[in-house]
Amino acid sequence: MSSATESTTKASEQFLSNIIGKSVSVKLHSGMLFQGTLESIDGFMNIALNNATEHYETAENGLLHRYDGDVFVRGTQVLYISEA
Amino acid sequence: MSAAEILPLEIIDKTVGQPIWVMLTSHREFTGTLVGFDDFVNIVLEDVVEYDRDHEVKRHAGKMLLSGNNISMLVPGGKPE
Amino acid sequence: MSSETPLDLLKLNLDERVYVKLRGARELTGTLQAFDSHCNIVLSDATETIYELVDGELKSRTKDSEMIFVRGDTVTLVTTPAE
Repeated sequence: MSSATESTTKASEQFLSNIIGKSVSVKLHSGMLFQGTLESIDGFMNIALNNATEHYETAENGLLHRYDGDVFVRGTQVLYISEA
Repeated sequence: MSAAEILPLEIIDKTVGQPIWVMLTSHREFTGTLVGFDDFVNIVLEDVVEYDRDHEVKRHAGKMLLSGNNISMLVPGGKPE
Repeated sequence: MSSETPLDLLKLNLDERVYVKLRGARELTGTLQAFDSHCNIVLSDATETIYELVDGELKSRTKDSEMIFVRGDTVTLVTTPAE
């Protein structure tokens, strides 16, 4: 038996397809937070962001870096991805 | 499978749409409404509060995909006050 | 999901200068020669910068390499260098 029902499995896939092109927050296990436009994401949670900014834990803690080009973030380091 | 046997993830499946408390292997915790999960126990949450120990770090209004990689415990019902 | 995965987009940077952020306050800039799905990376004409706290003061040192292989598990981020 599959542990996740079909409707809940869809939840993660649906979420991923819905947030392409939207403004997202991506946090890494290290606590680094990236905010930018989601260019693309794959099943390993590898992520490509556009116009990304880098912060520690929250954006309120100040801007550490601004990336002009596309940023590729490696999936194994990703803790979460959330809307805006 | 006997009638009394319940798989752990069946309990989580019944929590979809309800509050849940997620603890990671680090000191980080999340509470929110469980939207769904996949076979790797990657979790989709909504209206999330992110904690470092008991200190509130950030509130997330929308949905969040939380990597199942470092999840240690899932508590249906949410975090007690 | 978009047809172009993040790793597909990385291909666009082949033969271009890239900035790679690694775990442990290390970063590299170099020309992207090759990479795979584990994010193992080969850079040419690379400069590695290592940041360290020495008596509470942030110090950095650099190492140059003609060709360097980076194991994927230390990689956190790849982008184009600032300028």
